[in-house]
Amino acid sequence: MHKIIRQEKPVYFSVRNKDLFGVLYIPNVSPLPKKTVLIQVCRDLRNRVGLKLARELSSLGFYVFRFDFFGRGDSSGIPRICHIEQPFTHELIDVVNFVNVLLQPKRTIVLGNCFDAITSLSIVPFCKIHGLILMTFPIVNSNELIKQKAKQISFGLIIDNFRKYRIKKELFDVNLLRKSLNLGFGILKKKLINAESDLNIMSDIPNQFSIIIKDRLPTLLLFGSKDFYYPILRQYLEQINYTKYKNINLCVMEGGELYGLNNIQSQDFVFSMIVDWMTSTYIGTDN
Amino acid sequence: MSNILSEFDKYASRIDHGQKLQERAFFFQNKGENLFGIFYLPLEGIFEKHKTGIVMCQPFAMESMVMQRVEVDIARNLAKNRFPVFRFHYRGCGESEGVSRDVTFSSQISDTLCAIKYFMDQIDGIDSILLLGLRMGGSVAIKVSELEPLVKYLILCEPVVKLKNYFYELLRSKKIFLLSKGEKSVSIEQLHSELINNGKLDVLGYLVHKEIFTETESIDLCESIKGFSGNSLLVELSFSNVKISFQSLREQLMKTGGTCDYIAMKEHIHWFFSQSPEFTSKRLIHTIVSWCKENILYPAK
Repeated sequence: MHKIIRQEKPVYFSVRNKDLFGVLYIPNVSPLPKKTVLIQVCRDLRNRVGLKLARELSSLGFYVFRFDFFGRGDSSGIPRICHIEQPFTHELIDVVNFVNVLLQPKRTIVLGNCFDAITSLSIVPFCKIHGLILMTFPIVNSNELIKQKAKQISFGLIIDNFRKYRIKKELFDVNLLRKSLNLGFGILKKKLINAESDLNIMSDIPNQFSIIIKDRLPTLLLFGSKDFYYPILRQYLEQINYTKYKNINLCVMEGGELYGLNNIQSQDFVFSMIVDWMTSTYIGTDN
Repeated sequence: MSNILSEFDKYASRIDHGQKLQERAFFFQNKGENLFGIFYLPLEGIFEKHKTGIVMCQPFAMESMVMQRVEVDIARNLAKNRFPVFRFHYRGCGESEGVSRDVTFSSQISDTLCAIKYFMDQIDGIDSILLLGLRMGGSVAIKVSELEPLVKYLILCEPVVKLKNYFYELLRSKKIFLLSKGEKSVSIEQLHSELINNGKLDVLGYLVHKEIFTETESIDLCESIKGFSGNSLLVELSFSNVKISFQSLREQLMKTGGTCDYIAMKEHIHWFFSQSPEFTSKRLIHTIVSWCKENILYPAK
């Protein structure tokens, strides 16, 4: 069997006075005429999916750079808590700038999963990139998240809890009682008036998507139909009439969940969708 | 092209003046495959009175993701205390070459032996080895200590004593995960049959291959340790029902002429799913560094 000669280089680099760690994959074939780099935000996708992707893409002529944020993997520093309304925007911009200086690419594409996808999306207004791959990411703010989770709780469960002995404690615990009543009335309201709530998308998302549309930024969105945020994302994309825009591609694994990549099927789906999209979008095209 | 590649070499290391250590990342070879490794070296050099290098043996499959950060923190703290450390990834794991079916118990032992040799070739002054293994890495460390006489010390963090039980635990975790997702219930026996008949099984997104299962199902470390007579530290890391087997392991390590210190910690760890921020433990790090100082730098006469 022909042995693939790999060209993989570990890279320590300094961002905000801390050393981050990444691995650079240099194409082991002729690079694309327009030097193109994919930046994978966060090295550790389950079962080495990120690594396999990097090796496959580098065999097609792409440069790939996978790295860890502060306090994660082999990077130094203290890890920041991941809060969906506080993505690591500035840190990622610094990383993109480093890669641009290191490689001087003609095209830079950013890939993020879950929270890292929010971070990737957040740099769009501030940083010139040429593509975005976003996997199964939260799209609503924290308050809306609670409401969406409440929808999943049956009204019967609330009633059932009131029957249990703990009600005696709850009657005297004002906060617990208030929370239970809010939950109960919220569900009752939804069921009685069948009201569709406003989506309460995170406040930056409309601006970010308007830039994606205006700049025709090639964007791949990957979700499973069973992912928690998928219905909300779908609703939002339909609101903005996304099918009108050829640069936005939504790929959905029907009947499956991409969150956590907890099975081989979801990993294979992600791998093949990304490779196909990268090939069709950046090889032999003017993008 | 080689000129272009070599210009990236300058990024492959870093110096941390605050922590007084240097890190150097690279690839080395075993059986024709590139393995990824990092040296963590004290800036002030290793002590003259001890010349022990520390080689770290990784956990298996998803546990390596869970434990990655604590491994890095352990390595950095040891290097800060002037112990040279080598962390590496087995074939088919982490950043190394190879695929999942390459990962067998024998391949992990072979890779560790190769790592020891490489470490001693590259770093002057090392004449003995401490193997630090987490989970199945601990099992590998025990086996390697019997094959490599230069291994004088062992640190075993929640090692897998009975490997057959470990793989059944993995099957059980898949069953529970499927149940939690509302999927059709499946028995452990069905999963076992699927593994044997199909040659592999998807366990929480990792392919477990029949080879490693059949290779290890008869291994009980309590019965098979015969050759290691050095000093060891056994750490019970989590809330698990392993006290009895760890006691037996400890007795066996002492029977062969060595010493074995035992520490129980009750850390909350989800072995099969990484958390955010990643798991780390100051207590574990402190315990390991202190033990190394007491047993290597200032051994009791």
